[in-house]
Amino acid sequence: MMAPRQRRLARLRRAVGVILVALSPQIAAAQTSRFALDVVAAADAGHGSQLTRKATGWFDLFGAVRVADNLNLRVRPVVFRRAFDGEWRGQIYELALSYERPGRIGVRVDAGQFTSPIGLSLLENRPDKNPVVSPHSTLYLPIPRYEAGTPSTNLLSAAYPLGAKVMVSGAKWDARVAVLDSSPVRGRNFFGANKPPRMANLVAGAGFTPYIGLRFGATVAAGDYAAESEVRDKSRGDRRATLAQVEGEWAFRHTRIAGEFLWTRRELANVDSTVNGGWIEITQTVHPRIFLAARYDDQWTDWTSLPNNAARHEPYRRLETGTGFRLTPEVTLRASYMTRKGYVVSFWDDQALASIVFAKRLK
Amino acid sequence: MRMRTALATAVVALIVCASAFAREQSSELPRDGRVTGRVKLTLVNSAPSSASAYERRAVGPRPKPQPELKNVVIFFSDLPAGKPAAMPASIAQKDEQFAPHLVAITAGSSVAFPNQDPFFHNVFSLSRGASFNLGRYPSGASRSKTFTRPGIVKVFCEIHSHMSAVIRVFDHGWFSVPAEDGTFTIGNVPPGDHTLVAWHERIGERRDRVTIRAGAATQINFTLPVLETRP
Repeated sequence: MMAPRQRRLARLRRAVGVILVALSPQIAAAQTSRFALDVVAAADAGHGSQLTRKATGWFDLFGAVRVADNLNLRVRPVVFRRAFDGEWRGQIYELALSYERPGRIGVRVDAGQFTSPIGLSLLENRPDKNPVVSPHSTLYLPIPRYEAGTPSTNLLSAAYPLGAKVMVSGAKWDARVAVLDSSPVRGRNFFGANKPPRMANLVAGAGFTPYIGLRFGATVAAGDYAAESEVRDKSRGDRRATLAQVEGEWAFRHTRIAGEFLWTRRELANVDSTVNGGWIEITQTVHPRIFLAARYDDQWTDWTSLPNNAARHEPYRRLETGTGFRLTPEVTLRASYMTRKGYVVSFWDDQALASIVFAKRLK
Repeated sequence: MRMRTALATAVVALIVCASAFAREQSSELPRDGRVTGRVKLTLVNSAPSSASAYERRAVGPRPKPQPELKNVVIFFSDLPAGKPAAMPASIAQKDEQFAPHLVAITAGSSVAFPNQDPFFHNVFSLSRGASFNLGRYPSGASRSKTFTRPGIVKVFCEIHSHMSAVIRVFDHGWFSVPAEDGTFTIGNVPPGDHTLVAWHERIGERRDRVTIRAGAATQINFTLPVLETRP
């Protein structure tokens, strides 16, 4: 016997069903959904030999709405907890209109806040795409500031730029140009108070796929990264940054090898600093549920310190090796060992890390 | 001469009697029946969009909608398991989707997964019925997997999160995937009262009791989604 509440629910469900059937035409062919929606939630914790790393969290929602044929509105809000200070931050990674026309020569035009046209690391800036626990140092490690009163920069910013991008691609090649409102070496927090001034930066990139599974790419970018109004020493006006990058990806059967390298130059008050570096990563699926992964990050910066014009060189190195276990198609458990030497420190820090990642395509 | 005529007459009479007896006997043999009908889908249930958080550095193809009625499988749920013959099937990876989205096979059958897109795909499943990962392979290549355990196997591509397929593995041969107009036929069904199920991965299922009569066709239609609620 059903309880009265269950009976009411059953009646309600039956009524909804009848209405849906009455209003809907017979469906013989499927239609492509107007909406796309997926969600990622992740948490990790670690224990270090030298440094304390806070447990992190990551909640990431991606949605797209087809507003017209070939035209999508894309949005991706993210909330995350940072490892170095445990602070929660919110960010809008994508809020863009995207026009896409498939064909022998495909065209895509993005306008708004979109995925950076530079590099491979940003394409792994999501826990379900990242084969190890730590995010790319390329994106999140602040470069030492050599000059007081200048903004913080990264080798490559994890923030998604505002601007416009045009991409074309064929079977074996792809090319893109973009105009961004901020430098690719400097982040812009969507909700933060200290936003950098808007400064036009130009990006151009291309890729070549000699055969399926192997791709090489390169990108160059140039523009101002700091405005005269926000730096203490105004003798040089707006500060310019240039970037060149190469990337490669090779995948076959159960193996994927990827890497990229960046050369960047930033103007300081008197001289320029260079920050170079990159990473290489290998992922191996050894069982339907188990994969192994390793990533080596290496970057260094050179500059001339005042007042004696001494040449300075600071390296950062990190190696992380780990394994992942796919509990279900949606849930992955990962564990890794990481050893790293930070900028301006002489010691190596060893970390044991563990994480859980939930990723589900809802629509 | 008279002897020959009498012998011939006797032989003819014997043949006539024997064939009449055989006809009578055969009409008494229990013969299997069949069930026919039509499936009707009444709820809009669309295929997933290919938009994803990280687009490739190339413009991908647009998935073509597949007939939704081909994503329904009709089967008897209470007939005895057997050792049905293997029936090879194929699920292509084309335009960033698995096509067809659903196949129904007998246990012991192999399914081929040819990649017909000009970029990598991967095929994997963590289902209880079959856990496998066929790795990445390029256009023109194909990998196969044999499914030995009855059940539902959900298949994915780890490169394209919107791609999925379903394989229904049966330990008998009494199932059917409807034609594009929704019609279906399941033959050689033992007479008696049986439960017939119409199942769709996302819409749900509907069960009905049907009476199969020897040598006769039983008509039954299904409308999905299910309107009745079971206690």
